[in-house]
Amino acid sequence: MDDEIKAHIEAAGVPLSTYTEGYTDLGPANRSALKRFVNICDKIYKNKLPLPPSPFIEFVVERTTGKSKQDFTGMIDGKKGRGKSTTTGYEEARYAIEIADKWGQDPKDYFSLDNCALLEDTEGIMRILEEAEKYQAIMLDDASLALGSRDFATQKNKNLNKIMTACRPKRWFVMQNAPMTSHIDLQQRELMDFVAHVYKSYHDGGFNIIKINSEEFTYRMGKKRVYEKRFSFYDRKIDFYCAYSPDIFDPFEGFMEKYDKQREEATNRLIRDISGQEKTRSNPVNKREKNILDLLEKHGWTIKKMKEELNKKGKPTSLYQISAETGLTPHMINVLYARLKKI
Amino acid sequence: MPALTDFTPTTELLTGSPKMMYTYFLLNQCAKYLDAMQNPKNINVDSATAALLAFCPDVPKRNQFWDAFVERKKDTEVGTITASILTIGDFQAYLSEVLEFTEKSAGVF
Repeated sequence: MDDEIKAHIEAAGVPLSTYTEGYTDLGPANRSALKRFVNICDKIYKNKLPLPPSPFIEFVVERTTGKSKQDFTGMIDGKKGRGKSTTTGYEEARYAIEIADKWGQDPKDYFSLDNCALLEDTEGIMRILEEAEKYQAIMLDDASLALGSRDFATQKNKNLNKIMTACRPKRWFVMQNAPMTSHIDLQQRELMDFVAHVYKSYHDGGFNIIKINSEEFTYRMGKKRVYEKRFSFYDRKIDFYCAYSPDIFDPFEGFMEKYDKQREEATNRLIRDISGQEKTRSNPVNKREKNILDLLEKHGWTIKKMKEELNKKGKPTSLYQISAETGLTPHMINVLYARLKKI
Repeated sequence: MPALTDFTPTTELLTGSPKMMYTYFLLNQCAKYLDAMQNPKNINVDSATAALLAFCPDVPKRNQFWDAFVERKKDTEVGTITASILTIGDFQAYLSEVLEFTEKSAGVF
């Protein structure tokens, strides 16, 4: 770090140790600790200081690119409008920059809007996963739509669970969003490596304060146990994480605007689809009825024409002749003819 | 100094974690040690200090504290009692860190 930047950081009142030690010492763990951290985050943003190193992202990159052939998946929860998507965008953008730095590539090779499943159903998510290359950062926004806990035994959930269970060789960094983690399928939750929570939103300040815990599930002696622990970096347990907008990074400038636009389109599409489904549900067309309508479409004209021709000739309607022509049973021909007379 | 062996933990604490038990035991001994240091006439300060330091779980650290005590004792201005209290104070500071009596908070970006 050159002297000019150092002086700039000190003049802003940000402790240099935030940059040199990799974490910010917030003193005793009391209520003021959050306030102290918020002040530092705010000063960094307002004074446009360089971002301090992120041991969490370094850890994720080390894991996805390391020799142990691991991937990293997690979920983030928080009420609507608390900043889940922005936080996810920040973490994934930062991951993309870190991994691109490591291999000297463009960060957009690892994370872009194409990697974001916005209100997608299972099919949409599968399409994104199918196209995603190795080491990508993938955002599944509002994952409860595709992986809802209420759809826990459906084939679509089972299929997506299979993909997420077996996708380790892809070495992805996947983050899923939901208002509550319990809204996501249980099997999916049990696959998570970490859970994050939007602890405080500072929309005006341009950042969110997040809590991230590692998560581990065990099933022993007939009991399931869940272990949630704070991550430790540099021998310190980390209580708070700061997440800005992904726009703060040059390669991802304007990301959130484009994201919001796509998200709005996705919302309109979703409302349209669901209202269509709802109309069908309230006015159901049963299988028998559908079959009759299909047959009417296929053979209605032939039956009508043959009946009219026989009537013209003064001959009685021969069901067998029509049956031979259409392949339908005499009973079905009568049913269809009755319908035709009503039209 | 009262006997250091009359420690009888209560039933509730017997069910606590080893860390809790150790903390309770040590604080009990420290209270007795402080009582003794306030009336040190019939006390062998060296033995009392050694007895308390003996419960330091880290052997190299224990020797380090003892050496510091011996060093301080040599300073005639400080005296044996003050040297002992200062050493036990260092021991407590070390334990506070190890047993996380004061939990610290940290944040990252």
